[in-house]
Amino acid sequence: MASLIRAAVLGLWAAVLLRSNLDGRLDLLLRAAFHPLVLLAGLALLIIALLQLVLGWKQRSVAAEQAGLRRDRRQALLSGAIAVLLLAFPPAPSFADLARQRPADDTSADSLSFVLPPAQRSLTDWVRLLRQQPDPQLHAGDPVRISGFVLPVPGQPPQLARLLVRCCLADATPVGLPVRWRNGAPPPAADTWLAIEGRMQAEGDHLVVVPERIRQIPRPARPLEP
Amino acid sequence: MRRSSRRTLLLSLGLPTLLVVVQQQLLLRQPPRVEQLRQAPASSGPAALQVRFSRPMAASNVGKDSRLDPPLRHRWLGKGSSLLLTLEDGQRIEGPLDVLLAGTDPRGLPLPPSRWHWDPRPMVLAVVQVRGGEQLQLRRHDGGWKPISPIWRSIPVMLPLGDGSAVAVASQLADGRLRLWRIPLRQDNPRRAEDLRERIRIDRPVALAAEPVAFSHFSSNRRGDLLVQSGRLEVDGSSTVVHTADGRIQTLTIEAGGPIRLAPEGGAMLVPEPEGLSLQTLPPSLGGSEPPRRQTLPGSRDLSSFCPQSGRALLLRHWPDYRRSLELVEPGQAPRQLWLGGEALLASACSRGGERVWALLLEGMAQPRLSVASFDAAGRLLQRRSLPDWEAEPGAGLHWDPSTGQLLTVLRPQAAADSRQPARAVLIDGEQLSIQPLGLPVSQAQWLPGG
Repeated sequence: MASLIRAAVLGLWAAVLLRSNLDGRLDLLLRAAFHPLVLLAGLALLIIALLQLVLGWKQRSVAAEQAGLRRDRRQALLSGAIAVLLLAFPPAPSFADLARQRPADDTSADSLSFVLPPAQRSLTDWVRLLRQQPDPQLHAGDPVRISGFVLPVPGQPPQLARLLVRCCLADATPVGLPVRWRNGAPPPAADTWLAIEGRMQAEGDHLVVVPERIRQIPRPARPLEP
Repeated sequence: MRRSSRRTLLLSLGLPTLLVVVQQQLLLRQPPRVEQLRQAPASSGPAALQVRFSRPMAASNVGKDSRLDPPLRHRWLGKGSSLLLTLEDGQRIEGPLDVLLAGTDPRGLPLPPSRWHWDPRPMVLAVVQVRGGEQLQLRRHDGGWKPISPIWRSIPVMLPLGDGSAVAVASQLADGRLRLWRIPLRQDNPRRAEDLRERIRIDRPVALAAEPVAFSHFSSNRRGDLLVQSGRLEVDGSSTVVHTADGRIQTLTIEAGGPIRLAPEGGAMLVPEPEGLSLQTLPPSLGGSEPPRRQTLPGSRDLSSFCPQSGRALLLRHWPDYRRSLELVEPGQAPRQLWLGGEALLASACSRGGERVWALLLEGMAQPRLSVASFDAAGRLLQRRSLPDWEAEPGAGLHWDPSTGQLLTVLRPQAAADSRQPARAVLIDGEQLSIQPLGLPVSQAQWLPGG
């Protein structure tokens, strides 16, 4: 009986990992490069669960199993309950909350792409470019076409931001661009995903995105950037 | 648990903890330091200096405590551990600058003050005609010339590398073939004020190819990569090789209809092809991106010059009615025509992203008249100056230096029909278009980037 419970719990965890791979929730937590590892782990758990099932069926009458069952039952039920909760309620992290608690990313681009037109630069490309070439006059007037989530910044208007990850959400660092939101209109809510088309404008020593068109968009399938 | 094993456990846990605490306290008290200073490749003003600190510093804080002598107008830009000291537009640099770097980090720990000499002005590098042939010489800012190569029979091709770390040279042998060289230079600019070594040290020429070649073309980018296109008379004797700044050599398999130019920022190259100009990324091992990108600009166009700002260049377009036009091109946008005329456009140069454009124009067939003109970003003619006493020197180019506001080219003084004066390196004022010939007879001249 203990082997059967163990097999059921392992099977539940295998289902969590495999389903995370299939329904895209892993894209919210982990860089795509690491997804095959999770898939392999899910398959390995599934195989172990099946082995446990076979073993449990063969040893269902052994008395010694009863002692093991009592010992493991509480832990197995707790673990299984967590797996069921994960299956039932997929994670929905607030990127804005996470970004507020993380240090800002400090990496810059090794090189500036001559080929990439300004309108094709992503928000991350822009942030890295400005870190390398922070002179606002060099980029004033350039067309901008970016997307990201709204990140409230204390004492300043909200920025449009992205989260960069090297591995997973645990090491995520935010990058953001200041946006001149429309006068009089309330600033957009935190975590709203927006696509902005506009131009860069120099404001003192900084650049700000002046939107010409703002569209609300659904959260991208893969919102984390390398 | 026995007493000895308990002691072992305590030691194995306690010692690393103690080590971590000591290290943390030491790092907390460690003052910030300057890790790297180097000239920024592009700036909205005459020059800019990139300063990398060992930890994030506030630009306002560094700007408050740092000094510049002479006190040129400047700003500290950026955030994080890399800041930019940019000199404001409208100033010219007359001499080397003394930079005092100081400030405090966000925790209030002071940056130990350090003094630096910084000379943003490039030097004139020229192929000078001397007894016995030609020699590569460097014109110091005091006006003196310094030889940096042996005397060769002739030097038909010369190119300073974009980071100022070397000069690529082709010297001509008696049979007309070329031997390719790289002359390494060591520039300490900016350097610590107490560093009394000479600003530039020259090493011996290093052969770029084992065998002499029939022709060659060089191109370089700001990273210091060097592209060498060369060919021998044998079948399959042509090659395109990139010598990277870190010493690697990689052969490119590419068909080009003319000289390939590396994009100044690195990672890409401009390839002339039968259907037009093609901008292609280099392989990832040479700093290019993955997947490869390629943009082709159709039409009869040649690259005239790159602008200092990323992605901008001037193109020379040839029209069917023999007129020519000068176009400013930006990635992803249609080329913008700045000038159209029947004159021959010999060379061009631009400042920043094309805010100011200069062109060397030649008018007339029987008695060609040379002139230099300046245009604004919209193509409006700002000024045009005739150069009646000078002839154009083929392939001399027009090279802009934002730090001194001068253009550099090579012109030949006009002489009677039966005599021929040697050509001179000529400095042209970017505003007034007045010219200042330099002393020695030269065949080529270019700016050597200041490191």
